[in-house]
Amino acid sequence: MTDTDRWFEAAYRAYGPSVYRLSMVYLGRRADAEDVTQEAFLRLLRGGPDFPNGEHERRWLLRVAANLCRDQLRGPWRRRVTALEEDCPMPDPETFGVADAVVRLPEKYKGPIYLHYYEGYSVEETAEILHLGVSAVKMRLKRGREKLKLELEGTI
Amino acid sequence: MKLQEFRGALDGFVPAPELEGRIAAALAVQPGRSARRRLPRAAAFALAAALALMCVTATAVAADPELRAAVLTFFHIGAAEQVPAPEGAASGRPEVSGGEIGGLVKAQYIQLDGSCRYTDDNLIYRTEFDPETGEVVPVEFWTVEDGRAVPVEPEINRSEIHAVHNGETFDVFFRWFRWNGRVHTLSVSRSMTWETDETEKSVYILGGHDAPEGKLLLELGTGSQTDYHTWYMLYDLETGEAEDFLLGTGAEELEGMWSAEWSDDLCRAVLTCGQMEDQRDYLLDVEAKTVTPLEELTGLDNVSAVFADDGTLLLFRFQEPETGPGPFTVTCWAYDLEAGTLGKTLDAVPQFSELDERPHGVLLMGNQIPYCVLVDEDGGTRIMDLTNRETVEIEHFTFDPAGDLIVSPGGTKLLYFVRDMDGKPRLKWKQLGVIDLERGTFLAFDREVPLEAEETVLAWLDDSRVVIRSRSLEDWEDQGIYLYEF
Repeated sequence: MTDTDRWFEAAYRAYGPSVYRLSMVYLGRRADAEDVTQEAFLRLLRGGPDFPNGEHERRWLLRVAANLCRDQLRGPWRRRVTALEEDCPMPDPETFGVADAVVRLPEKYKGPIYLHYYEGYSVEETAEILHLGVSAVKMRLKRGREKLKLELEGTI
Repeated sequence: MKLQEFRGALDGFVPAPELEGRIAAALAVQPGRSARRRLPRAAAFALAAALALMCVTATAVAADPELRAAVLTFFHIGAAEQVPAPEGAASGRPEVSGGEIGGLVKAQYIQLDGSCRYTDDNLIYRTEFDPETGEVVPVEFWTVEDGRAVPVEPEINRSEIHAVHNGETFDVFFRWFRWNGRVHTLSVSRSMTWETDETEKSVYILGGHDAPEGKLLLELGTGSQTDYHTWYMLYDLETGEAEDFLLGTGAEELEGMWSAEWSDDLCRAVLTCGQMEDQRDYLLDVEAKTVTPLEELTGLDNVSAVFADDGTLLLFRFQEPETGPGPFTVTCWAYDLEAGTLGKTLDAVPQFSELDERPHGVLLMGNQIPYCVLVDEDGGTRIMDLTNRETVEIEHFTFDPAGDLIVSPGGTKLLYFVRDMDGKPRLKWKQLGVIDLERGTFLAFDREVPLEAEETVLAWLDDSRVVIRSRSLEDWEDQGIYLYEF
């Protein structure tokens, strides 16, 4: 096993599922999410900066993945509703419905909602990852939450 | 939806076990982590610039007898821009400095304190957020003249919107001012969306900002997600009256309308109704008071419609490739609304994807029609007008997969920009350029942005100037607005 193999194995196991999950929230299709995940790690290999710690590396990957997803959603077809592909495996129809509702959110709400309410990043951290202002993140969280009718008891 | 349900559902997004192996295999053909794969872009551009200088004339080339093709000269400025850090303004008012990049591009750097915005009419204003009302309130205004920030005081007005549609009442207020004959709206009371006991509602001001008679187009929204429905009204700034803009057009009969794409003159719109497989588009003619199914009008189904100009619709069809996994293909038709004629301008061209090993195909510029970029497998680049297939070739230039273009307000220039993807996440744009389609020139330069800065906005200010907004990561409040005149 080369150094690159060892580095990738550790990085993928630490961050791969998060990068893939974020991509699924944006795109709703497994094949597209896999492509984005692969490209994010390729970019990390060939151009990633030297990170002071793993958390910085994780945030860098999430930012790159979010940008790649936004690029895929760009274009006149963007206003069409993005939905979760019908054969995406989920334990029951109710859970599928919840995941589908998240994927159907307007694109601009997805990153903040996922990073804050799933990954547990603070508003400031979410703003930094997505290159948004703190007030913009707060507004998007509020509106995204309204659209999902997300109840916050037990929130982080 | 409970938070636990939300998280539980997203737990179901688990990557396939084979994905790790697939990525590892892809990595195996890449150099090691310590060996940066990319060659310095500067070397490639220096070569391109040298070749461009050898290109004495911009000669018409008939690559295809049906197309009117031309060649652009490309010039890469050798000196990189040393971008200043966003340091804020000690004086409390915008501080302006500037210089020239390679003697060809004039740069102005405006340092600001606090949260500032700008208009596309050379107006900068500082805002404050009122957490009580949710309003962003303008505090001070400046315009930039002769390298100085000059305070100005446009008259700020407050108007109330009271609109009723289908038994639902919409009550909001907003602030606005006129500057250079244009109406600028600032804020709407509470947030743009709110929830009542019965339903979720929203009001958006969509257009009409240039109309001298001061009438704004409003989108009234009810519901959310797949239950979201819209209606359109015209708001008179003088009288404060909102009139039904679709009354008597037949739009009342449409079910589930949730979106409208308006022409700039607001005389026509494409109304979208229904979801997924039941989605249908209709052409609204405001003056004729007619609504016609787009499929009946054009004979095409499964297309997305965008206005190229007030008299031309572009119709796009995106399809999965028949040859297996790969980028979607794009087919485009231009429909002349006056003549009722249809012409195909793209035929199943693969969509450009920077994820490809050798990105190529068509790059659409969002809704900034009518141009698209055609990139061949060697990076050769052409710009095509989607209304008539007129094509301009850029010689001695390789399109960067991280590059993109924005059309100027007048439609005669394209801003070329390259995002930094090489591991400096705080550097937003590492190269800027402007393609002047009338003069047949393409001028570009590299940028060196301080690590402590990040850039958040890139846009045309007018037809000759580009604006970038920068901010400090050390102090979120310090900002810079950087103007480039080509």
